[in-house]
Amino acid sequence: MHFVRVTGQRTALAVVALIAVSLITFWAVELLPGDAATRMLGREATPERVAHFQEQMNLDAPAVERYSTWITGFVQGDWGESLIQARPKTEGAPAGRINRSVTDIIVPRLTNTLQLAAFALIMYIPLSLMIGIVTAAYRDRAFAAGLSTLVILGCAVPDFVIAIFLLIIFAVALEWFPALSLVDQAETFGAQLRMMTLPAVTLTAAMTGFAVRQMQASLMSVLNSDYVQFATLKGLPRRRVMLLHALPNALGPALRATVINVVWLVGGVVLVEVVFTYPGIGLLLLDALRLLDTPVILASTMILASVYILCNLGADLVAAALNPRLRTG
Amino acid sequence: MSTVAARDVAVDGVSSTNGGEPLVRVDDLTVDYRNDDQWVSVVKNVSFSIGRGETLGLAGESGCGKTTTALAMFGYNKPGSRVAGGRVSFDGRDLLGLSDRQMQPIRGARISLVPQNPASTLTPSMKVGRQVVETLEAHGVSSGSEAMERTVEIFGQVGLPEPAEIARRYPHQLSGGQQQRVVIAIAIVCRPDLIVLDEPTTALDVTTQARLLELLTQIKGDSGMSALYVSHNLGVLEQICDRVAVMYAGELIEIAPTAELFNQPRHPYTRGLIAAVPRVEAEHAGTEKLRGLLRRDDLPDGCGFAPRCPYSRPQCFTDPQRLDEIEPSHQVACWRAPDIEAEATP
Repeated sequence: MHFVRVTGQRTALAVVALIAVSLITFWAVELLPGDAATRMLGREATPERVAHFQEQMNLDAPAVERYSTWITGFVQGDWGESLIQARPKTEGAPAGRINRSVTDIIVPRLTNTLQLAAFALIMYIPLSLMIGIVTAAYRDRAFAAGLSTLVILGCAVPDFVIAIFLLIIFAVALEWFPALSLVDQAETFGAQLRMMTLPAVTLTAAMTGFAVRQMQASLMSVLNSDYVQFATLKGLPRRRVMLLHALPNALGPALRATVINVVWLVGGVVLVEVVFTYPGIGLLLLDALRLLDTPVILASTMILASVYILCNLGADLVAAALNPRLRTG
Repeated sequence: MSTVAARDVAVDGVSSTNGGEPLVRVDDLTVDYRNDDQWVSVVKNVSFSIGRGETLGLAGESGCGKTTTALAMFGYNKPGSRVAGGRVSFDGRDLLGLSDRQMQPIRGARISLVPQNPASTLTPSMKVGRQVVETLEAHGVSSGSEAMERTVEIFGQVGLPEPAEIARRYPHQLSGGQQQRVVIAIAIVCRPDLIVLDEPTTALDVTTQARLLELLTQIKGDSGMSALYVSHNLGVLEQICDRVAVMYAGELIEIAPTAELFNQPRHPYTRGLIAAVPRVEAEHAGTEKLRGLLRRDDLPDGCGFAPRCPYSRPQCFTDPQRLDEIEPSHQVACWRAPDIEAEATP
């Protein structure tokens, strides 16, 4: 019963957060200097042409009206049309549906990004769990100390530096992987995987350090707890103590670290996509910002924010499900 | 609870020497804790024995090394501690020489623990019944549904209401008293030879304390197992123990049969402790209250209690005191013990 209530509360909060994000994003874009019309038509465009373009694209309506049109459409899955991609064919032609729809632009890009993020997470979760457990369980041993140092190094080095190092070593010197991740042009799944490897490794390296440190800290405090001592003094094998008594109670903080990481991934992916020219939603957002393609900016931002909020929501619910205190009340 | 009644109960089977070799023999045990780069001895040259079926009380104030001594019975060092010297032999085997793996069949099966704080002793993510079952399984006593039946049975024995229902609950769904009953059930389910009770009732309210003491006394009577009962509460020790050992600043300073220790305490610290026990008849009240606090960072080379002792002489601060037999089966670590008797009872 308690769990149902928690679920309801958290979901409602997530919806409120999404509405807030949509408002803030919309008005932030409003405040951006310059407008798409001048950018599209060039500085020499006559005022009439600019006015016509604005009317055609419904840019002259008041902001509140445009917000409500946009948000209603967005919720219904109609994300509007790009201002930039596929411009109006001829002047004076009726405002037909000749521009590419934002959905058509975003969906393949989002798929690419999700594939990259999934690849990184698939490497990151077992890796950080394993390193966290090993370094906490064998904290007295030299190899654990060495591993911890490596992890701190991974934490400290900025991800773009890691990316560039990986590029220099594996793409330029060894030529094992391509320097540009043009996954859209990959013909086989294997080729696509090869293109995704370097960006995914960069993301993994950046995320693992943080998660390992969280996992280490929480596992160490659990290993010092009374109940782990009691389980040991009950004569249980060390592995059982570790897997059934320590680990389930240490996962909470590690899970929170993973959430923070997924959230970080939303931003980190943009940077990595730029470095590797990976055609994901991050690169798309950056290009749209440069061109002031408002519908694309709004839709991409909303998508990234939704991922962020949904991940948080998911983590809260998983944490509640894992914790018998929250689950049973 | 009545501490008076137990007082005059005759103590039989006290001596660890009758019936052959004692179950536990601790010789010169020294345990260090790491403090920055230095090792500091928290337990110093402690020696005692526990006979078969005997209950030995270990008294002393917080931080005197009681728990560390208790954990040494399991060959277990807390992280950041080490055994610097001495032996703990159990049923003829030296436990301190054994690895964790070699200790596994002994821990929980032949020597078991009831720690201080039931709220943090049980694993929060596991149903309490499961925590008993896994103990039975780890020691090959029983497994599967048979182990579950045994669990329900033992829950009934330790006085848990609706044992089958309780077994399906998580620790946080039980009261403190119920949690401690579960812990006691885990401790006795494999019928150990020795049960180590480390302040088992301290974290509980007085009524629950009294009920649990009743249970422990009953279990002890039924099973005939030996016990090491660690507590700062002398009233409790007086009720349940055959002999009582008193620790101060890591050292054993007096050990005697319970009745004798309470009637004729010889060490000034023991006298102070007993005087501090609230009593209805108030016979000791106000005479020898303990002064000051135990400060481990400021111990003299001689007797650790000298700075707080009303009878101390300059010599006390420089000469280490050793446990000496003052009467058969009564040992004291105070060279002034005979004089004090005369001074205190004019």
